[in-house]
Amino acid sequence: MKIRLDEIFDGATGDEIAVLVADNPAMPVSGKVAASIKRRVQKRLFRGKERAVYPRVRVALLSAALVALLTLSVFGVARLLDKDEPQKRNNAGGGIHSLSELLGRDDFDGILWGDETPRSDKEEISDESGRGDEISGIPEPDGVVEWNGINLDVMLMSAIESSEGVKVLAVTVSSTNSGSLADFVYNGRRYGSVIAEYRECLDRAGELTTLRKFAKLCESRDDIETDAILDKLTAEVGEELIKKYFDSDKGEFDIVGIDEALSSAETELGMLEDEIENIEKMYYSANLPDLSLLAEKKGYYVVENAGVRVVFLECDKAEAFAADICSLYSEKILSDSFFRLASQADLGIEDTDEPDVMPGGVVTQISQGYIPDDVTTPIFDDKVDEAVE
Amino acid sequence: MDDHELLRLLREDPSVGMDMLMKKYTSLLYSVARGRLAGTKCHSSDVEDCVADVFAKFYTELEHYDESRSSIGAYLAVMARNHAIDIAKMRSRGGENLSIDDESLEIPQPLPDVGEAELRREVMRAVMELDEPDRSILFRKYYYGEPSKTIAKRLGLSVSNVDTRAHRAIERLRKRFGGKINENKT
Repeated sequence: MKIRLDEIFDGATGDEIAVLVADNPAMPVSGKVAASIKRRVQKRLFRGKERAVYPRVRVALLSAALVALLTLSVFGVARLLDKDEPQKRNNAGGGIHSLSELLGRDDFDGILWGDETPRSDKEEISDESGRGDEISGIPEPDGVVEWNGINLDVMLMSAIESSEGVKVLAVTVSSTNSGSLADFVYNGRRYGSVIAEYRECLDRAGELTTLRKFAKLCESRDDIETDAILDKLTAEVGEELIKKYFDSDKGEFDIVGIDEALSSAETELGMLEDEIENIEKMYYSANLPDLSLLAEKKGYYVVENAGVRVVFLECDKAEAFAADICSLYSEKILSDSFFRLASQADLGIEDTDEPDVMPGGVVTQISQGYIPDDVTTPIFDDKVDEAVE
Repeated sequence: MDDHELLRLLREDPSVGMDMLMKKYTSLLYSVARGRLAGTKCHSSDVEDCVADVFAKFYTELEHYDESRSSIGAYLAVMARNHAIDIAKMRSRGGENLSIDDESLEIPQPLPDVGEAELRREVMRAVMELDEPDRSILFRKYYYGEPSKTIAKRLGLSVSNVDTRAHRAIERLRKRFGGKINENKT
């Protein structure tokens, strides 16, 4: 038998792996990858018998959608208050009927989301994918096509054109924002400067990791020539860092200090990633049309929170949707807007989540930290109050 | 936070415990899974699924983990690697996702082929005896699947130095084990 190179660590014991991992800390993953993994873990733990064990993450936004559709029907409110009479849902009329059924379901089958791309279209793993460089992969509104007077992304147009029967689209509107993202300022911070700060912090974390590696090496081996290592390190991480963490009198590195600095750099990276995500969100939500005008029309369900606006509509009503949009908003607003398929990730929605909402539209659970727990759906507040009265 | 404290948190306050567990080990497990799945017919989402499966399995079968036998990090790394191997096999056969209950997530039992298991242990011992940074280079290259450029940056070496050292280290292993080390990856 032969052992392949990628199998040479297969005979390692747990202790050996522990030593190797301690000497070779893994590259930090980006905030987006970490968040995606966290969502997947939560999804798994929600399933089956584990449901009761792990605290559930509720879907505030989808709850809001449920409230929204219920406001359109007294029967809907009645059902909310009396869950023993689900058959009353069928009393809702016309297009609302099928849409409300779909939105009221737990598994959300039938809603077409933007992240349902075929596997073959997804990115193959490459050497550097999934790492911190994702930060430069800011979604730009490319692939825009003009369709019935509004700007759609190609995927949305394809979904509209290829629809068969009743299919609900989750459509989101963003701003095409002609201004440069790099120059966009939010909370007094320019996006380009934050990105530069992030990269600087990433480099610092890299230098500290390198420093730590060699510090550990010097600590564990007596036969290492510290001078030679210091020369190499100076070229790699700079003199300042060496001066700070190497005690030339003792000939020792301050490993505790390096670890603290590394930990602090990683925390800072996380905060900067959050800030970057927030600025991007604000950039793409700036100058958006007020969708409450659309929400007043029958057959559309609008959810809005933290700059994310999603309209649920039946696919075969897409033509009417385009016409309604055009009649409600000015050409200028429409030319600055861009409609695309919303992704579940945009809303923090998992397909195993269940709506959890109190009468009156008060969201009772926080969904992955996106929404304050006392938030209500702003667009539908008045209608909810009317319906409850 | 040490393993003992983390386990206490997982038992007493699972939500906070899971957050801490993921914060501490996501990078490690991602590197391990990605290292094994890179170059196969897998996608980025498979790596994330693999890592998520491992975290979920660890939590739901927490009572199986024996703190005295291995650290949490090593235990999770072994689980991640085994699961990644099975995902790669499944994908190469054109199969769909593996279940979280799949056997690949079990901690490996001794291999039935004693000769093969012994050879693997011998190779591993030899790897552990390699000088630094050669050992780290091999670990990063064949366990994390990092490219030479990344390894060079992490270890403060030039790319050519990394490649040369890796080549020589493998040659030493090959010489010692009489050609039982295969040049090709999966």
